[in-house]
Amino acid sequence: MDISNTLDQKNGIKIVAFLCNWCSYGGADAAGTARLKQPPQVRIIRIPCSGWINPLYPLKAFNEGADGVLISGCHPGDCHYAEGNYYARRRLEVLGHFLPFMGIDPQRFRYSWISATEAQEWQALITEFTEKIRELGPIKKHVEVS
Amino acid sequence: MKEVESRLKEEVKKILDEVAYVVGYQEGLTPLSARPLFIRNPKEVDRLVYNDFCAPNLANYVKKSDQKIGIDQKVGLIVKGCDCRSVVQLLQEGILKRENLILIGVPCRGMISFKKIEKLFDPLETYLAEVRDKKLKVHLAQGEESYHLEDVVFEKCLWCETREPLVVDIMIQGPLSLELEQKEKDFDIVELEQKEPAELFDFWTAQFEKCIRCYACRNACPLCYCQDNCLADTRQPHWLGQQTDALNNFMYHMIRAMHVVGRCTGCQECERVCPVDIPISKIFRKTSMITQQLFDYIPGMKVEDVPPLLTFKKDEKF
Amino acid sequence: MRIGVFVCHCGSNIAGTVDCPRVVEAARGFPHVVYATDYTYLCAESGQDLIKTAIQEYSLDRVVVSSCSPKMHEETFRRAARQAGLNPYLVEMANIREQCSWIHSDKEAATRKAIDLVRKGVFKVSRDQELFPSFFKVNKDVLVIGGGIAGIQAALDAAQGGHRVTLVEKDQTIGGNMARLDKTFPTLDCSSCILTPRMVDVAVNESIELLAYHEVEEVKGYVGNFDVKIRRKATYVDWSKCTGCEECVGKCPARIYDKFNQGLGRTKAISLPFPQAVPKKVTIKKDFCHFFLKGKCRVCEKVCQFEAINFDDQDQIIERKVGAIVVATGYEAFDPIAYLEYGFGKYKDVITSLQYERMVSASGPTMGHIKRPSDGEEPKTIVFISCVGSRDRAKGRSYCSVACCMAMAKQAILTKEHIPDSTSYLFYIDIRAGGKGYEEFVDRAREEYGAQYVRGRVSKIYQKGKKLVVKGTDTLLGMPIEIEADLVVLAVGIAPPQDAPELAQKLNISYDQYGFFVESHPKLRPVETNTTGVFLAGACQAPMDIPASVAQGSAAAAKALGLLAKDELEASPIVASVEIKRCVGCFKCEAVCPFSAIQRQELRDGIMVSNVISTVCKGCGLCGVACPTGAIKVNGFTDEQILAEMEALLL
Repeated sequence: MDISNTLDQKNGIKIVAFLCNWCSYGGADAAGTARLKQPPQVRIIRIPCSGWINPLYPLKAFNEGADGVLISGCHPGDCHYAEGNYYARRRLEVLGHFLPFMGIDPQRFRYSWISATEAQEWQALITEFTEKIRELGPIKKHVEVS
Repeated sequence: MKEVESRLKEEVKKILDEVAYVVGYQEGLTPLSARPLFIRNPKEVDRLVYNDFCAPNLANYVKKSDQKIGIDQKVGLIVKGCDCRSVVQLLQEGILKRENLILIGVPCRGMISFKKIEKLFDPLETYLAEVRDKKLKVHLAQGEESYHLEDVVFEKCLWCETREPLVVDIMIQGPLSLELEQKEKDFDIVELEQKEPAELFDFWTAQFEKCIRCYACRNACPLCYCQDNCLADTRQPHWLGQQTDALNNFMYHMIRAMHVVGRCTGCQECERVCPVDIPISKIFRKTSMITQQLFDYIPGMKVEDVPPLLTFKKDEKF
Repeated sequence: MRIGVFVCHCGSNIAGTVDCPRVVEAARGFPHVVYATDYTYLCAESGQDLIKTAIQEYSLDRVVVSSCSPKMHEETFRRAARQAGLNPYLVEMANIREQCSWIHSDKEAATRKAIDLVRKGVFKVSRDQELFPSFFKVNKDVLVIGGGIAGIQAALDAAQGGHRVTLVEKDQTIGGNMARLDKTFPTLDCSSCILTPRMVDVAVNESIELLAYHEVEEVKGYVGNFDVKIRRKATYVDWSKCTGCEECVGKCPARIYDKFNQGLGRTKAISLPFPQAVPKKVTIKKDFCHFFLKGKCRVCEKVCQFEAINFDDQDQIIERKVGAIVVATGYEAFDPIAYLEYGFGKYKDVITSLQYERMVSASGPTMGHIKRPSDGEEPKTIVFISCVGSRDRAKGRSYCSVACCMAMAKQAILTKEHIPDSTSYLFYIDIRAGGKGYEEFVDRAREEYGAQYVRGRVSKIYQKGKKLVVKGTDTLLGMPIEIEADLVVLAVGIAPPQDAPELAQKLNISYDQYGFFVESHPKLRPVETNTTGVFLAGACQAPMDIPASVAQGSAAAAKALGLLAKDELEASPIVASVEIKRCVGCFKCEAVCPFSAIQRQELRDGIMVSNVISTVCKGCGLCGVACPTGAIKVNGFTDEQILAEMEALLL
């Protein structure tokens, strides 16, 4: 049974994106509806709110071999849950400062605000971010001993 | 320090009627170490010691396990300046109740690190030790030796900013400084940060490969109060495997890091108790450096503060 | 566990870029998958039947539908699962259309990605739990925010449906921008004549509580149970005594900017906006009142025989509980000051279309006489310029304001009727006349009223003696054109009120880059928002004309009525819950919850733990991240589920 991941082996790049249900996931959908072409290395996980992003998710993702992690939510002030992204902003900002200390290039991590109408902004962001990750190449992984 | 100790004993005796117990220090395996002492009656006061070897952070012994929220049991606690910040942090988080604590503050002029002296001589073979003239003088089988205090006290004592406890009910006055040569706070982290991410990755991989996941760091941390419910132990969700390899150990330490962000007071108990000498407090102190830089917040300073990740400002920009 | 995977072709939308049979083949190899198939249109009835039959035939206990965005059809497939006897929350979707086939052209890469997304769905669904909605009581009252024509319509319809309605209007009268219009296109009905009776209907309707000169301060709660705080702005006049006789207005010495008349003419510090105002009550504008500014005057108080003046009046906060909210806050005319080339604000005889409307109106400041603001003379040559603040990317307004082309044609007709020997030149980009009787109306303007349409933009306006020289290009003739005009009217666009984002934040609804509120779905849910129980009507959602605003007002009311027809509503089970034995009582969840949905609960041995009030919780998950032990989690998006998704992607 081959259940292994089929991510572009040639480029060897895996990007995990966590998008909030209300704004950024909608923005990515809108980009799709508008047929805005995007790099295929990105895999989106839908979550209710950027405030639902546990900083451990990106850490876990990097630890498991994600080459880039992108998080996007509603613009500050526009959170569907009123305050979720304000907390997220603090949590993710701290994480961004912490990653390099643990040996993870902070360029591999990005958080941003994309509204449900910002299809082009989403396309531009994901294209640029993917390009950056391709430049950086595959992430170094801790060795698993089993 | 002898004088401090005898006055401390008197004060402890005075409050014994009011509290279930008082947490203090008693002699450890050697006179050059100390371990916690739970004093329930005047007789036990005789075993109480206070000297330059009283490193343990006693705040850890009154956190949730002994004083569950809602169970009103008054406890006496002997606190040094740095330990008191842990108490303040626990008060701020509502884990401890101020009215259930009698805090006896003791002066601290810097504590001697067992790990450091262990490297210089065998503390178990030492029958006398005293601090005099900025030196630690020890009597060993082969004769008397003396060491510069800068070389034997904890690094954190060389940048201590809170020698005097911030919140106390009773303060025992005494020497607060030996006028040792100070070091820049967290200079070790600043040095480490000069490395490239790739080098740091290798640095931490090497550290995490040593880790045996004994959980001593977690158990010694006054702010880790989840106990049996720790995320690192649960299989659902399955954050990490039981194998003690760098991959899984990384996740364990990241769980702790993300849980002490904006809370770590830098007592470094985690590092003191680590049996494999991982400089683990660097990770947690780094998170505090970040929250100080971003939010101008220092943990464990004011009871009425709100931890930075439990609040926000609408118009802040980073 | 028995998982079924269904891969949709969506015609060629997916199948054109993704090799669907290959995705099915791969899915068959995923853990616990016992059945996988593909189909042309899964959302069609036959497609849903296929899923239902498979659930029963293969005893599926989990389903992954791989098709479009869950925002599109998650409800559809959950319903199908429920009909087949499966708990609807055991269905996950893999978005292989919007986030795969539509954005990639490389079939190989798209197929691989689709396989990954299906695997992610399979891994997640295997961690899904059965969830059951809870039910809660519904308050049947409706709040309508904004008393323009859309809000009036919504309030009247909701009241007719048997509900009590609170209509909040920030100005001192309802009527909105429609009250400013003289005539309406394409019938040339007198605007007041059709609007005023509706305003009176509101005033006399016993089911409608009209709160004019009030503003929404705060909205808490959720669908069926909104708690609204409303600020009554101090009027300094006791409205229960004021009869609207306007005795005070005549005597008031403070002459101030007349907002209703768009700055044409002056009004008083104590005033009524227009004679047909509802409610017909005066207010004192504190910032301009001589008494408030200088400490003496009080003339109004002396002349008021009803003793209605009250200088000690203060703002008040009142509270209402409602079940549904209709937002109908309308628009503001675009401020043309940004168009330096048109000289608005510099040349007195360059005015906006809304000012012109007031000028033409018989009840306006010039009593319906068209006069140049500079010298009061009747203009003979009038230039209208369209798309001021519309269809102009350079000014950050890309959208078409919809109503201005028609309004401009109407104004050209009215001009000719008022001044038969006048000539109107209308600069336009395109004539947008897409409505019933609209194109014919433009034809009439041109053919019967001699409106001179010039296709092109105006590049500059400058003063030459008493005249304004309008320079532009006629792009049909490809020639520059210069007109010496007596009056220039700028057909200003429809812009959202400046405080629209602030209100959106209070209501928890989205707004676009301009400030228009965002509907749930541009086609299928045009008056709903992403916050259940909050509906949109009129130009606050997008530029629209009167017929569209009225239709939306009715539509929003119908949506509210439909919602409130039930005594109890279903609460989504996608909310937080606490695993009590893992809660350590640190209450970090309580500290971050924006909805005060966390309660402290005492266990028998005195230990305090957290408890979630599930009908108050909205499922944002802030608590889950704050919780150090993972004791609190949001159903449907648990750490286990998200870790499973990550595992599926990074395996």
